[in-house]
Amino acid sequence: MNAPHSHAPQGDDRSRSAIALHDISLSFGGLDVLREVSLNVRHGEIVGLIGPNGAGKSSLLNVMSGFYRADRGGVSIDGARLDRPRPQRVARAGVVRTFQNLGLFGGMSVLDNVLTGRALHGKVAWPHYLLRTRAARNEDHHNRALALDALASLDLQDHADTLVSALPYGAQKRVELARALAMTPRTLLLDEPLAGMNLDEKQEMVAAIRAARDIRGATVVLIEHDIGVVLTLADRLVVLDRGRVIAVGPPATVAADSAVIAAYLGTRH
Amino acid sequence: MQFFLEVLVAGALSGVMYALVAIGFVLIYRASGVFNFAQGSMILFAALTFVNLVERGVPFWLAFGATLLLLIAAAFAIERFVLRPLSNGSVITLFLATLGLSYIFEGLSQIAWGAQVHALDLGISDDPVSVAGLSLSSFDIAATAIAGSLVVVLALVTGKTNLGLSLRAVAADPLAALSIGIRLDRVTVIAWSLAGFVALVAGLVWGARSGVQFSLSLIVLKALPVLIIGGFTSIGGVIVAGVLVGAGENLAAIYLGPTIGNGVEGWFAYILALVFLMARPTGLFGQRTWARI
Repeated sequence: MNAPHSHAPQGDDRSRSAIALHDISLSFGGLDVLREVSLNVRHGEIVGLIGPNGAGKSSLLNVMSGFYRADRGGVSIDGARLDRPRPQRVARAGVVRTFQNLGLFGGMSVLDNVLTGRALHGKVAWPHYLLRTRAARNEDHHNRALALDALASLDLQDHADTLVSALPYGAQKRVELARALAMTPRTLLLDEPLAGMNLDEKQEMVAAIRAARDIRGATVVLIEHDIGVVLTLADRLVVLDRGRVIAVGPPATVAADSAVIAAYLGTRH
Repeated sequence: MQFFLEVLVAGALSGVMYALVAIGFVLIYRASGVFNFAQGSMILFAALTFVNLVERGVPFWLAFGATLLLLIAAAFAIERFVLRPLSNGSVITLFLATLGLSYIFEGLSQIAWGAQVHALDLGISDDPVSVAGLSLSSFDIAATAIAGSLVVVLALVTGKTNLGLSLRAVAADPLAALSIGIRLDRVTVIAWSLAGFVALVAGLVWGARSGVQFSLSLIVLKALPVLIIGGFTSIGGVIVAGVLVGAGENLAAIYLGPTIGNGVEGWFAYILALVFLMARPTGLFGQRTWARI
């Protein structure tokens, strides 16, 4: 894959850390959700996070994105350790997440939803927008171009003016990814991006996630239950069970790991 | 017919005054998800501060600017010391916090400026004028013009600017807004500052109409039915609702008053609101929300 405007990381960029967890422990009222989880996601990687229900996958994503504060341990983004990772700081560091149950803005159009992703990068104050100064018009033009590009890459360009809540579930999932892409993220954290989709939609989404990495150069961490998809999409799998990492490695190796099979894929007959 | 139209239009115009109060509630409800009980006290605080500055010889616009700065400072303090510490609290916790805030605003106003009634002259006369053959109050027309321009400005700010986009995003889903890096604290301060600005304008118009006095803080009670009918999330909705309530009150007072007793205008708005609560709980233009279960 060598697109003309490829930002795909090359050479030793691949070995740098995009996001890392150091000995993360998290408990809710005596229930240990995560136990000393360490994980290093490298630039340009697609990492699949799998494990049975209640293994702590979403909690791990919530710690990475700053929505949960770990009891112990730390988070590094691009090699820099964040002492108090808060959602807004994490987002400003280029790490963007999506939600399992959608985090879209209901009463707004698809385009406006995607445009909110540009708020983070806004440099022109709102009175400029009110007076339509040149600076405001330039920024607005730039933001719209990026938003429309993100929509087009998810085949949503015809729905720009549709109310987002009027779209079917699968399309809303794509809008959420489009908003994330409009933020020009360095790392995407996707919580079950394929949930509730039919086969065609899944294939489109998988292609979009691949393109986010290959063309836009984003690192991807995703939680997904469809093992068939994860095995082909991810470069590396991380398997969680009861709050611990029980296996890390290439999909083929992990799928053959006996501990993983016992914990997650079921016992072999 | 002539008389009926005059009653209708005069009521509608005074209804715009209710809407002026209600807009402040909508701004804060959209940003902080709470019915700001202190909005009435903010109106009182703004009007008292302004009128006392003017009485001490401060020019109109300087007094206006100084009062506005105080209200913006209050917005910063409220975000930092009230809303942020309670950000994980339930809606009822936040509501009670605004109830507390209303006492602080009332207390501060009276400590600083005393409790006597002040007359406020904005230079707008209250004479009957003839418009399209109807005899109307010139003050009501001016108040409507002020409220109308305020609504246009607010509609442009929320509809046409990057700030407005963030405001709407926070209103729709604060958690998702946080995840895309929107500064909740800043958006909150701006929303409360805008509500302060609206409170100042409402305080001046109401103060000029009925004197700057403690009862200004009770306009909240008039704004409540307007909010229920118009919907807590829609600025346009509360304008329409204000007009409906104002016109309805006036018509009821004139045509129903003699048969079912005087004082109809006191409770008419609440009965109307009750009907809406049963038939259309999100108001005329309020956003309906769905939850997946």
